[in-house]
Amino acid sequence: MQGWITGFESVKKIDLLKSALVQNRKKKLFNLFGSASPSFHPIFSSFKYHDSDVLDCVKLIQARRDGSLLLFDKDYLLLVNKLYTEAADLGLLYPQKQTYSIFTDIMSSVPEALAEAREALSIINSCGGWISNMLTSVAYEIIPLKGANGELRSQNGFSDYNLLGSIFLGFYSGQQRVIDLAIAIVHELGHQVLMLQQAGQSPLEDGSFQKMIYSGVRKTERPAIAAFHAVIALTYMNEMYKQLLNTYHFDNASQKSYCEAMYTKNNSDLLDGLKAIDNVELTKVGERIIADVKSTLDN
Amino acid sequence: MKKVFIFLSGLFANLCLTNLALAGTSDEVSMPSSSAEDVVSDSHSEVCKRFMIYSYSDMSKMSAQEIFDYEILLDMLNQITTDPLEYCDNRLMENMVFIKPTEEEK
Repeated sequence: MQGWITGFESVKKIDLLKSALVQNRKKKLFNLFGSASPSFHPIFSSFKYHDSDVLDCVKLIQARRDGSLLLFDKDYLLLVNKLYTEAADLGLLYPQKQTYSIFTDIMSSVPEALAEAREALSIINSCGGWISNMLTSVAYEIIPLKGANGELRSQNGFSDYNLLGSIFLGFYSGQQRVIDLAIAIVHELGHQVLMLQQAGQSPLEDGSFQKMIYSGVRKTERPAIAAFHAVIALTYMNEMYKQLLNTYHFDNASQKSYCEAMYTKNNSDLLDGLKAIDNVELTKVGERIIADVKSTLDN
Repeated sequence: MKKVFIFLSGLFANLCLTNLALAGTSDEVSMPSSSAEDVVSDSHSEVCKRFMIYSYSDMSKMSAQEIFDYEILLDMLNQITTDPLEYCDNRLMENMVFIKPTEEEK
């Protein structure tokens, strides 16, 4: 029973865990609101937010959805912004609140962003690997962000325990920005998958949770759970680079050499992050996840 | 052994009934029930069915280690749903009996 975090086997596990979460939240909503309860939405992940304001907002949002991950229409994003910052009073984007905001007018400010996001998703899907299946199973929406000082393009991105399935992303500005965006989506997917695992069992024993260890993403000491998340995000990025290098038809040689260089750098960051994890006490799930990560490494 | 065969027959029936439901995404599982009790029952059976279909594959080849892995996964599902998934638990126990090596085999 390999595959706790990578591979097709892990997709089946995660689909099962998400199914359990969705069913549980549906049950709670039905107990509260009967037949008036809406279908599942990321805002019900933690089930902290379910008053009538939230419900009304969710219903308006769901009425506009077409099943796509990418809905950048201004009216829709204004509703999303209202839900996450007013109706639910999530304090979204705290602690990111000081730096990010939902990019509600992205279609008028950066009209090419939607095409770039579609191309990034197409790149992930064209590789035909398990990552594409995992994204389909886990992701509910991709929400565009503005930069810290209102920049139209930024390298921001985050996921939140209270909003499982919602991926928040800035739009990159470099020459290989579509590739970078695809990798950023997969990075967030790693966080999403680990958060679903955490809903079932923490990967770390209680005593290790806040222990400060090196993080391969921020390259500084962070609480162990954050460093563990970094390892998973880097693993997902590594796997995406591998899929690209093995199966993707690059537009030009520079695109391919960019991916090769990024893979080498990312792999090195992952190895550094993994070393740090050796210093924390893992649960049964944590042990299996790390064993899975190690099995993906090149010899 | 007879119990296991009876159990597997039931499992095949479940497999046929739930293949279509699994074709959709997790968000799209229908909830046609009209009472809170029905919803509790439906949500439990839905997760149980998914667990059984998932863990059914390669059952004959399961090692003791794999059984432990299923136990962990079931614990996680129980944690997420809060209420114990007793039917799934029973199934796992059946498999434990079915697969665990005898003293002689050890």
